[in-house]
Amino acid sequence: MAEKLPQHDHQGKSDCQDKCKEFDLQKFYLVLDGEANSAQTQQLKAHIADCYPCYQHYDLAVAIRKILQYKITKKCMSIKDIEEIRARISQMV
Amino acid sequence: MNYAMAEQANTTYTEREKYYIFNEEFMPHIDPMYNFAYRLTLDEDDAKDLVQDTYLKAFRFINSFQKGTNAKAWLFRILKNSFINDFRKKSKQPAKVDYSEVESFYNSDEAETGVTTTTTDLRAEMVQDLIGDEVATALNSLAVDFRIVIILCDIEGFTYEEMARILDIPIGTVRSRLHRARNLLKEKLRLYAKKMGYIKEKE
Repeated sequence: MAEKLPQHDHQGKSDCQDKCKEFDLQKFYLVLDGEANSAQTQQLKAHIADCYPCYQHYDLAVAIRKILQYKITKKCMSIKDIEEIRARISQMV
Repeated sequence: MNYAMAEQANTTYTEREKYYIFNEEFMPHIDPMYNFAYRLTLDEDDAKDLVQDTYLKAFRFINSFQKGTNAKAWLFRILKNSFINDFRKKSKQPAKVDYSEVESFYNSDEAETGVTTTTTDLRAEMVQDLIGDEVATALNSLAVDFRIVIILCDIEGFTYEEMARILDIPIGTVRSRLHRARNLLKEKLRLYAKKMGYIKEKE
């Protein structure tokens, strides 16, 4: 919960996978969902610019959101069914 | 009908105002509503009935809708309550797995295996290659309470606060449920990726 993030002690790109102290998926989601404040967002952006494993986690979360938004067929109601609702409402007086 | 009464003091609209609100504020959300209903019921006819039922209720309780507030969230809340309270009881399909059961199961599972952080072999590039049907199947296979939070957040873009109101749960619960739902979905997607050979079995 601390606002100040601890210094991360890894330099390399591969050996800190999931050991990164900054790794906090829930915090990533706050940013992704637009629920983080600007300081939290900046911290995360700065961190993932440096830390490849964390970048991958964030990137994966973004990719999953995108496929949910764009790849799942959006179902629409038929005009006939919409008209039926309107007709039933107009009878409800 | 507590979803109607839980709102603040009622307004009394004239007949004309009622129709105006219904047509201008409620009807524009019919496609997201139908989509939501379909993702809950997984059946086009059931989805149609659920949406129709919701709109009739919305009109009947229109006085509890505050003009200028979020109509989409208000409608989604009615739809979700109709689904939980009326629709699932009526339908013959066997009850879905109870959410609290799933949650506690998942908690213990998570505690033991560290599911939260071990799904590291799934990569964004693999996910991008999945086709829509596979994504939909993965989503549909989640218990309904987990499915709902993902639809509301990722597909419909509601804020945590709006979701808390739609679902009548605290924001903290929205966050943790969403977190678990996403972990479960990720695990389903990982299985697909594995099946398609994107992820190699570890020797």
